[in-house]
Amino acid sequence: MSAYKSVVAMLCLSAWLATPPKPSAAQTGQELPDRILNPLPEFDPFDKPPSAPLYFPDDVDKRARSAMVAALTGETEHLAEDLQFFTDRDAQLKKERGTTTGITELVRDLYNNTIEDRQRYLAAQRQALSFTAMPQHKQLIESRLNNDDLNQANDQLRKAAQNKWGGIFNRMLGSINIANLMTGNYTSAAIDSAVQQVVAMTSNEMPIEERRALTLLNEHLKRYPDDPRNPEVRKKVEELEKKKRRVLAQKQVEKAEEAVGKRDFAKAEFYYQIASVIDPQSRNAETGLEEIKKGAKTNEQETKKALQIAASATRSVSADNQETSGLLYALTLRDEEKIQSEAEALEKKYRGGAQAEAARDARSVALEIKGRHEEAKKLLKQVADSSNAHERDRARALIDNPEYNLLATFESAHTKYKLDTVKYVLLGDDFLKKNLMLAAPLVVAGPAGAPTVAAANGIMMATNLVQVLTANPISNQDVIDKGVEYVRAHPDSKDASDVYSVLADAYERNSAYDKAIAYSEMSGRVSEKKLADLKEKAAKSLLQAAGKTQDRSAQEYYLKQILDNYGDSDTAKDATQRLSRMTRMENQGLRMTKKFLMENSELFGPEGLGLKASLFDGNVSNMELAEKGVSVLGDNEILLNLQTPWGVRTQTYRLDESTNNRFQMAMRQRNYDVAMADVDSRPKNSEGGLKNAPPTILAGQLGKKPQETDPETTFTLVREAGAPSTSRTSGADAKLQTEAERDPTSKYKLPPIQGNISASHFDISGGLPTGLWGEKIMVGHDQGSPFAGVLLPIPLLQGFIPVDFMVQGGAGRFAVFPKIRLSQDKGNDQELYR
Amino acid sequence: MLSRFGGKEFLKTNHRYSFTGFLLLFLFLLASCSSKFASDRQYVPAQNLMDVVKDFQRFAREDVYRFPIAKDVTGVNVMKAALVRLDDYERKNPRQFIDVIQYSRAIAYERLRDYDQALASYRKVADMEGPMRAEALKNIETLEAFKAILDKPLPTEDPFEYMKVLDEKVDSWNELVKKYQGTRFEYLARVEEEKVDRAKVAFVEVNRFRLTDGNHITILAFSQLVTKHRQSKNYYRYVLDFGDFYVRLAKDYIAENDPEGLAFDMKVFEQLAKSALSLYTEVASVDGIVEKIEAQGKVESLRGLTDKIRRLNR
Repeated sequence: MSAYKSVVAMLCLSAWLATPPKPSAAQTGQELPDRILNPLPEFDPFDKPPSAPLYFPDDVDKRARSAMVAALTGETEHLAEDLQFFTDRDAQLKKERGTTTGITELVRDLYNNTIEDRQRYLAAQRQALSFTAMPQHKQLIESRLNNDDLNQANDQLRKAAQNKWGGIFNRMLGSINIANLMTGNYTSAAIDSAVQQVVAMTSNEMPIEERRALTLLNEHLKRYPDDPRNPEVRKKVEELEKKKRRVLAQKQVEKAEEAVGKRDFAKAEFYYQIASVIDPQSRNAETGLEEIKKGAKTNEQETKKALQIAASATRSVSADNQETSGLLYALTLRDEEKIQSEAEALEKKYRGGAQAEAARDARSVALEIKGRHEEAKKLLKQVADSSNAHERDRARALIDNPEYNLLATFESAHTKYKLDTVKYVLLGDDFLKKNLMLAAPLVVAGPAGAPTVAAANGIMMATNLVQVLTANPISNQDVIDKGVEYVRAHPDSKDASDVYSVLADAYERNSAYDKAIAYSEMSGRVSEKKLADLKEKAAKSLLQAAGKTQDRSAQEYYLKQILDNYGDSDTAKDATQRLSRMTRMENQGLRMTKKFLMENSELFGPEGLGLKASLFDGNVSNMELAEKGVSVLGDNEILLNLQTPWGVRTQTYRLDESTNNRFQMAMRQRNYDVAMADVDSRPKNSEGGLKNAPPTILAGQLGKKPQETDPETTFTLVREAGAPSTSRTSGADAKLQTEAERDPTSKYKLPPIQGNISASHFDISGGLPTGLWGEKIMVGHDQGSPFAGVLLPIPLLQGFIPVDFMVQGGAGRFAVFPKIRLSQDKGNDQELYR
Repeated sequence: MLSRFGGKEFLKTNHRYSFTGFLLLFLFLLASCSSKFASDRQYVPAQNLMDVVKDFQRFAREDVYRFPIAKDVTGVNVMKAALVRLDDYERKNPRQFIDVIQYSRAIAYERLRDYDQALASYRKVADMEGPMRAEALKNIETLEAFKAILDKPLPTEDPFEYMKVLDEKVDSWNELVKKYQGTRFEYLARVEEEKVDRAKVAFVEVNRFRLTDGNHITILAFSQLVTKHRQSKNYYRYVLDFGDFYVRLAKDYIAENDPEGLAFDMKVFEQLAKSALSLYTEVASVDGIVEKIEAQGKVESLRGLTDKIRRLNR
């Protein structure tokens, strides 16, 4: 038994000894970093490349090549034959197998594009549209039909007319409550409409739609000089040109009149001249120019008179006598000390007399020569208060002269700015128009309209105050210009310190912090705390600028500016971190976020980078791409940001040439598809496609320069301020993101909010998100009671006259207001039609 | 009732008042209409030579290198205004204070850089006995030194010789700057030196196609000009001219390489445009100078050009 026990014990011992030792906790800890750093050492993120398509040329293939060659060489007859072949083959295949070649529509497209006559071309496109089954091709044809210059021009003119008449009807209908139509009270509506109509008619504008139409009509005439509709088109062009000339000239006349108001006649003459060049028949410009010329002539005569010595009957010859000759010589030689002593002697001798005032004036000249401008001006002010008419008037003219008294000019600009700001808070802009509008409720409803006016005023003032405190719309540029002019002319004067302080404040308000800091320092009055605050603001504004731009070199420039100029600020730490992040490898090259890749799956799929689909399935256990996505570094390397249980880890892989080429082709194809998606809604010739896509990839081999340049035109010595110095890898450098990633605030953005003040009410309205039946929500105040409403489009009328109805509910009432929908220009090239 | 209170009188007076009122209103309206396009400044003409000299000396700043010549109350260049007033005074008061008139006239001509006329006026003062004579003689000596440099002929055959003489002139002016440091002639010499420096740049710019690396040399010349004359009143003008030169290079590049073609390198164009833009922006961001308006216009114009070229190159 004991032997048995011993054997068992021996067996147990040997079994224990044979078992490999269990790793200790410390050993496990040592292995962990390797797994963290390289979670899946064997992981291959790429799928196997797709096999090359098998290719057996047949008749269809040969004809397709022939059609392409014919299209390129412009052999229309051959192309027609090829189209016939494909049409016949399709009919045959359909009969035999129920299928088609699938490329007949593309060949038809090639053929249609050779048609030069506009009418036939458009007819062919319309016919092709009815034949084609391919959605993308359909979209392309639709965009061609829509992009026809004449069609677009007519469409724009129709919109302009609709907006014009719709505007008039809306002003009339805007006051008519359909629910109360039976009451027959139209007085309110009539007054309201009349007031609004007057205001609308005073504006002198040419709608953007008409200006677009004019451009398109001219394009049409250029493209189709023999089109039978051209006489009609030319007539339209003439009418629009005439209107455009009149409006443009009137705009210049308005600018000229504004300049006349400010007594800037040189500026006024300039604008009148432009107006007369634009529209030689402009009566306003002609009259204005004549008046300016007359004024200039009067001024010239005045100046001429002022340059003459007064006639002997009126002048005091005693001033130029032997007694004053000492002072006269001292003045001529600019001898400050002598002027001072001679003038003092004369002042003493002729105390209270004309000679004494002249001598005091001479002392002021001596101070001016010494550069003590403000002291000189004080003396001059004493002369201006004297009883001697001649010396007094001359001194006053000098003090009133903006060239001489720059400080007074600056102070007057500063006072005007403050007054304008207060005026803006109380009255806002368009004072006259709003007053007219606000007077109307009182006319319509009598005292009952007062609450509406009061409420509207309250809201306006509060809004204006917020506007002034956040971003004052009243420009302080005049204050800055005058202040800078003063300190440039008299940098060391006693008052310069005050002017420096005002300038610092003005620049701070304009967010020009670098200048605010410089002027604060020059004023010598700024506290350390204020200076630090300004520097922090300056650094933050640069950081914001860096965040807003997509241009890497600009980002680097802004961040370096922070470090160079505001190194002590808190923001500098942030800038340092950002700069160091930018230099990391994963932040270089062509970066594509995971969301962007998922939105453009062709780029990572088998036709693109060939990445495994499992990287995008949200399952971390089979390896998942992190939100940061991938970076294509140069031509042969790709960096993947992988999501692991230990956080994001980066791993670099080799990118073979064929994959890289495939990816670039996929990028170009995707760019084309994205551009096609909105081809019919974008303005003609505008840039579509992927945002921020590197031009080098989009241009393909065309990006490379084919020829050597002339050494005289290689500007290697071009100097650039703030050129980036950080080295980067070769290849495209860009960051591709989805719209939401590019602008994360876009999804939280409030819909556009508008306000409206009419004779009978005021309201504030905002757009509702798409998907809801209503389009706009509105709250306001109407003849004594508040209300809320929603704007509803009525689908039945949309195809005919687009009419919306604003349904409103208030204290014990229900109202329905009809409104014709006006079209709004959404093109991003509005600047070209301004 | 009215008669009790002297009604007729009252009416008569009232009628007279209302007529006067209408007349005043009419005159006021007439005056406001006529003055709409006329300057509202009130000028008081000088009565005597003292007034003329005071007006002149008050505005006659010596540093004509850093500051432009001031305008007097009438808005006319103070030197030109002084010349007109002195002529008028002399005509109305013959043989009075001739030395003061001639000396003042000489200074005005001197600041307007008409050295021949200035010398002639100084010489007239030097010919007379009086407190001005010594100063006039000193000024004649200085202006003769100025004239000697100005009259030095420029060779027209060889461009390199031409440049060499321009360089020599710059050196000579520089010597005068040092010699007359602290006086008004220092500033005048600086103005003359600046003129030659600008002429050198203009010469290189005009002949850049004949020179090896002409474009590079012009860029260097402009860089030197704006660095050397940072304090000049013309500094912003030079910066704008420098920007214009980059725009000219950009346009040359467009002319040589069709933007729609494959040989056109957008980066080269953008680099030139960017250089011009940074110079224009420098001026456009300075407040209180007239060049700002021009610079803002140039920035906009360059934006339009870049936009157009980018569209063509797309």
